[in-house]
Amino acid sequence: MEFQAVIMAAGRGSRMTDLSNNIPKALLPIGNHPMIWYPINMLEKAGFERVIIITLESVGKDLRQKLKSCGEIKLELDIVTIPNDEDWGTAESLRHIRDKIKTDVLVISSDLITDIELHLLADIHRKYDSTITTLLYQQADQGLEGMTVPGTRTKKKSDQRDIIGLDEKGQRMLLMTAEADVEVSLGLKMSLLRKFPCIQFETRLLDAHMYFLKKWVVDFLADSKQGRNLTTLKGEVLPYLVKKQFSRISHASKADDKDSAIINVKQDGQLDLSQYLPYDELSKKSLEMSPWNAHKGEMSRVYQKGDSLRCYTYIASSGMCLRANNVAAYCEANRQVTAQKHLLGDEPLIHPSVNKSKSSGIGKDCMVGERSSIGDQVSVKRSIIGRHCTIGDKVKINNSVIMDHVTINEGCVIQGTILCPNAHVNKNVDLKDCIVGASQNVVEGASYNGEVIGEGDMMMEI
Amino acid sequence: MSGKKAKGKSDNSLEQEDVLQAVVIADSFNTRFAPVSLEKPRALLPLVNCPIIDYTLEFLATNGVQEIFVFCSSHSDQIKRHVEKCKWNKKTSPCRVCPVLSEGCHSLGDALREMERKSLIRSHFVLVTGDLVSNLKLKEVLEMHKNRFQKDKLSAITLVFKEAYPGHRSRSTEGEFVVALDSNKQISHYQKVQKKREVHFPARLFKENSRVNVRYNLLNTHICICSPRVSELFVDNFDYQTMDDFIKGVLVSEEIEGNKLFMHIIKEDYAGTMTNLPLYDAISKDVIHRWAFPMVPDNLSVSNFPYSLSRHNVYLAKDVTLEKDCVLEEDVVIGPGSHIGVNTRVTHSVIGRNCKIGDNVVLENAYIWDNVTIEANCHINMALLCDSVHVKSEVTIKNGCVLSFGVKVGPHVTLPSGTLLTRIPPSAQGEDGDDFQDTSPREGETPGMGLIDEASVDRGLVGEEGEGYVWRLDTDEDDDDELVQQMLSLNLTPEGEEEEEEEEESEESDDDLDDEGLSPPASPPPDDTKLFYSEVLDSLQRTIEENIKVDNLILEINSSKYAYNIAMHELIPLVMKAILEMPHLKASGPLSSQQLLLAVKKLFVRLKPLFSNYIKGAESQKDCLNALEEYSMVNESTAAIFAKLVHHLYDADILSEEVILKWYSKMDQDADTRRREVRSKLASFVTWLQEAEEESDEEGD
Repeated sequence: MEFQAVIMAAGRGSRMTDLSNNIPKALLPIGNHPMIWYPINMLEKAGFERVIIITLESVGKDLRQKLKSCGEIKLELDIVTIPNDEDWGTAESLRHIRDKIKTDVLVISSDLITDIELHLLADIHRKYDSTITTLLYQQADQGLEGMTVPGTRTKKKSDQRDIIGLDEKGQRMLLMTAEADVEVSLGLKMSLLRKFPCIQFETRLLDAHMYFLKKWVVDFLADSKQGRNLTTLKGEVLPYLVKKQFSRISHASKADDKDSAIINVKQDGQLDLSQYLPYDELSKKSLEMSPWNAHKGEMSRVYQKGDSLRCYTYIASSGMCLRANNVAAYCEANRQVTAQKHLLGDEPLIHPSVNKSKSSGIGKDCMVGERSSIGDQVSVKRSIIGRHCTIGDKVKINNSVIMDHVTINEGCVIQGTILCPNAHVNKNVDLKDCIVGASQNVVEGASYNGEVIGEGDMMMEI
Repeated sequence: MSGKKAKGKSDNSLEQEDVLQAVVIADSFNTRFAPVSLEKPRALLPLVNCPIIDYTLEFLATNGVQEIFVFCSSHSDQIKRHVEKCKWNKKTSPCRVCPVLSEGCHSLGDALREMERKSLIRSHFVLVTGDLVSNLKLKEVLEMHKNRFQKDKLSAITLVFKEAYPGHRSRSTEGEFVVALDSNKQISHYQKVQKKREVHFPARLFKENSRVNVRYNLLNTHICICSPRVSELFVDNFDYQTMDDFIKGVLVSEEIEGNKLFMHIIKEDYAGTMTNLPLYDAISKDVIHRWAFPMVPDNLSVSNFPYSLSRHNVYLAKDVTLEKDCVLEEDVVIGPGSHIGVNTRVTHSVIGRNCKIGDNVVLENAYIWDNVTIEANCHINMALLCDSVHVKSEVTIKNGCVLSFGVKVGPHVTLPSGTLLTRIPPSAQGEDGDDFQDTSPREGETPGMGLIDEASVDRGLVGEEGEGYVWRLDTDEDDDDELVQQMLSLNLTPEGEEEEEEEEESEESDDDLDDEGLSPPASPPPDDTKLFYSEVLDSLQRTIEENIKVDNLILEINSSKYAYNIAMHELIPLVMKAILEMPHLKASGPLSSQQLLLAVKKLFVRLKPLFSNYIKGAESQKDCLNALEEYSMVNESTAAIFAKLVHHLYDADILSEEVILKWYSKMDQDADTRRREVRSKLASFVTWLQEAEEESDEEGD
C-alpha cells in the first residue's frame, strides 16, 4: 500500500449556511449524488481499497446510509467521527487519526468535484519525492463573479486569492501567500532568486484541497510542539512547509548523536521540523562521494542542493475541477456535472422510472431522479430534479436545483433557485434566485426574489 | 501622444521604412576602463586583436542596417578616424557609417537628445553601445517590435535580454537586476538589486496580472529596438540620463502616459557588452571559444590578417615565430609578426601584433596588445598589457594587473594583485575633477609619452628600469558608488552571499508559527555606518597582522567608503575609533593605561601615512580631535592617555597648534560634565602649547 486515502468531511459549510443548515455539507446533492460520493468514486476508480472518512459525530450515521442508497461502493469505508462535533481544522483531524496512518497519505476534501486523473498528481509526488504535493486549478476566466447567488440579491464577489510562486517548470511551489496579506509590496529574498532565477507568480490559481503528504508530516503535526499549533492544512501547514523549504536545516545535531539526545531531552518534545526530515548517513556519504554530475534527470538539482523539504504542485488545466464550498460554487457544480458523463457513471440523466408527460420538454443538460413525475407542458432547462419529486402542469424550471421529495404545483416559475428536500411549492408561485429550506411550504401565488425561505432564524442573509 | 498624431507619424515613416537605422553609442560615460581608456576610447580597445567597435558594426551591417550613426564624445577624433576608414564606408558597402561628434555629452540621454536635435533619426532604430559583441538575428525582433507598434503606438521600446543564470561568467556583477514581466512580455517592474538582500514587488503587480514572471536570470545586452517615441521621451524628460532612468521613468508614469516597454529574451544567440574588465575577459574567451560565431578571430572579415585555427582553439596569424619547446596549450590567439621564445608556455591568452615574448615565460589568461615586449623568465597571470608595454626579465605579474600604454616594469620585481600602472603622471590624474575622466579630450593628446618624473615613481614597485605611475582609483567624494572599478579577474560569486546565508539562519531560528506571512515587511536597512566601521576594523587588523602596506589599507578604506556611501567627515571619526579600538581587541584583559599608550602610539607610528592621507585641513583635524574625545568619553583607559595621544599627534605634525587651541577654546555651552571632564585633561597640554616653551616637565609626568 503506497498511499492511504483520507476524506475530510467534517466541514460545516460555513460559507453556505443557508443550505448546510438543512443538510450536512458533505451530503448536499450534486447531480443527485451526495457531494462526498464524488471523491469516494474517484478513489475507487483509482484503485484504492480503503478510505478513512473523517466526519462529525452527528453526521456519521446518515453518511453511511446515504452512501448505501447511492449504489454499490466497493471501497471499505472507515468512518471516523469527531467527538462532540467539535470544530476541528483539517490538520487537527489528521492528528486525530494519526494511529491509523502507516504510509504516505492522500487527503481530499469532501467538496472537491473533479475528473482529473489521480495518477498525474501521484506521479509528481513520486517523481520529485515531494513532501507535499497539491492540486491547483485555474479559476474560470471570469470565475463565478458577477453571477447572482441564490438567496441573495448581490452578485458574487471575487474569492480570496493567493499569490503562488512556482519555479520555471511550474511544478515546484516556492512561495505562497494570501493576496490580502500583501499590502504594499511582496518581498522576495535574493537568495531565493539566486536559486530560482525565474519565478512564475500565479494569482488565479485555487487550491483544490487535495494533498499527497509524506508520513513524517503527519508525525510532525502530531508530535512536535510546532506541529501541534497548526490547525488547517491549506491555511497553515502548506504555507509553513512551503516557507520552510529554503530555511537552512541543520543535520548537525543529528550527526552528533550524543548531543542531540541531550538537546532532545532538554526541549522535551519541542522537536524542530528538521528532526522529522528523512535523513541518513549513507545518503549523505553518497552525496559527498559522488561527482557533481552524478545525478541526471528531474531530481539532479534537488540531489545536488540537498533540499530535503520540497513542495510540488500539479495544475489541473483541463477538465472539471471545482470545490463546492459556497452557494455559487454549489450551483455551478450542479450545472457542470451533467456534462461530465464519466463522473456520473452509466446512469442515464433522466431515470427510466420517471413519469413524464409527452408534452413536457426537458433539456439535455438536465437530470431527473428516480420516480419523479413531471406534468404536462413543463419546461426544464439546466436544472437538476431529485428523486420522488412531483412537478405540476405548466411549471417552468430554469437553472435550479430541486432536491428529493419536492412538490411543485402547477403554474410555477422557478429560476436560479435551490429547493431543499420536502419543500412544497403551491400554485402559481414565482421564485427567482431563492433558497427554500427543507420542508418549507411556499403559499399560493407568492413571488420572491433573492430570498431565503426557511425557519425564522435562517432568514439571515449571507 | 494622441492617437491621431501617432498615426500621422507612422504614415510618414512608412515611406522611409526601407532604410533601417542604428545608433551606436561609442562612449561609455564612465571610467571603468581607466587608466586604459584615458588614452584610447573603450570602443577602440582591441578584443581578440580587433577593435571592439568593429564587432558592433559587423553585427549591425550583417543584420541589414543601412545607416549607422556612431555617436562619440570623448576621444571623438580617434573614433572618427577609425570609422571613416573602416570597410563599411567603402563604395561597395551596403551600409553607411557616419560618425556624430558631440563633445560635452555625459550620458546616453544627452546623446539621444543630440541625435533628435540634429533630426537624423527618421523611424524605428536599433540602439546599441559601442562595445557589443553579438550574433543575434535582428529580423525577428524588429518584426515583433513593429507589429506591436502597429497595434499599439505606445509600445515604445523592445529591450533585448539574454538568458544567463546567476553566476554566469558573462554576467556582470554590477548590473544585477530583477524584472517582472506579464504574459505579453511587457515589463511591469524593473529593479536594480545591487547588494540587496530582498526585493520588493508592489502589490498592484499581482492585482492587475494573473501571471507575473519574475526573472533574475537575464543579462542586459544593451540592444534596444526603439520607436521614434523613445527619442521624444528623452527630449521631454531631460533628466533621463541612462537607459535605467528611462525604464524607471516610463514605468512610473505608465498609468498616466501609457507608454509600454517590452522585452525580448534570447537564449541561443550570443550577445555581450564589455562594460568592465571582468567582462572583457569573459567576452574574449567567448569569442575564442566560438560562442559568438561568426564573430570569431579566423572569420572576422574585419581583421586584415587571416588566422589559421588549429586544435584546442589555437589561432595563429601569419609570420608568427615559435621557438623550440614553446607550448601553446589552449585558447591562444597570436597576432602577425609576433615571436614566442624558447620554452615559453602560453595558455588562455591573446597576443597582439609584433610582440616579442622571451624565453621561459609563462602567460596565463594574459591579454597582450600590440608591440609588447616581454623578456625572459616572466610570469604573467590574468593581466592586461596595453600597446608598447615593456616587461623586463624576471617579472611576476599577479592577478588583475593592468599596464597601460607604454609602461615599463622590471627587472626582478613582482607586481602585487590589482596593480594599475600608467604613464600619465599623478599630477595629471585627478586634473579634471568631477568630469568623467575618459570624456576629456585634453588627455587624448598623446599622453604619458613624455619623460618620467623620477620623484613620483615607486621604484620598489616598477623596478629599476621601470617607467610608470600607480593609478589610483578615482576618489571623488560625490562619486556614484556604482562606479567603483572592478578589477580584472574579480568577477566571482555575487557579493554578500555568505553574509546573507548567515543572516537567514539567524532569522529562521527564532521564527515561530506566528510569523506574518512570508517576509517581514521591509526590515530596516543595515546601518551603513556600522558596516563600514566593521569593514575598516577588519582592514586595520589585517594590515597590522599581515604587515600590509598602509597604501593598500587606504585603498581598502576608500573602497569601503564608496560601498557604504560614507562622507569624509564621517569617515575620520570612524577610522579613528577603529584605531583606538584595535589594542582592546587584541588584548585578553583590560589594559593598563601605560600598556595602552604604548600600543596606540605604536599604531599611530605605523599608520602615519593613513593619517596624513585623510587629515589635511583644519576641518578634518577638528573631526579627528572630536573623535578622540568622543572615544575617551566612553572608554576610561583611553581618557587617561587622552592628552598624551593629542600630544603625539601634534608631534607627528598631524594636528596643528592653532587647531588644537581653537578647538580647545570652543566648548559648547551645553556640553555635559563628562565631556568637560575629558576636555579638562588637555588643560596642561594646552597651557604648555600656549607658552610654547621647551619640552615641558609638567607634561612628562
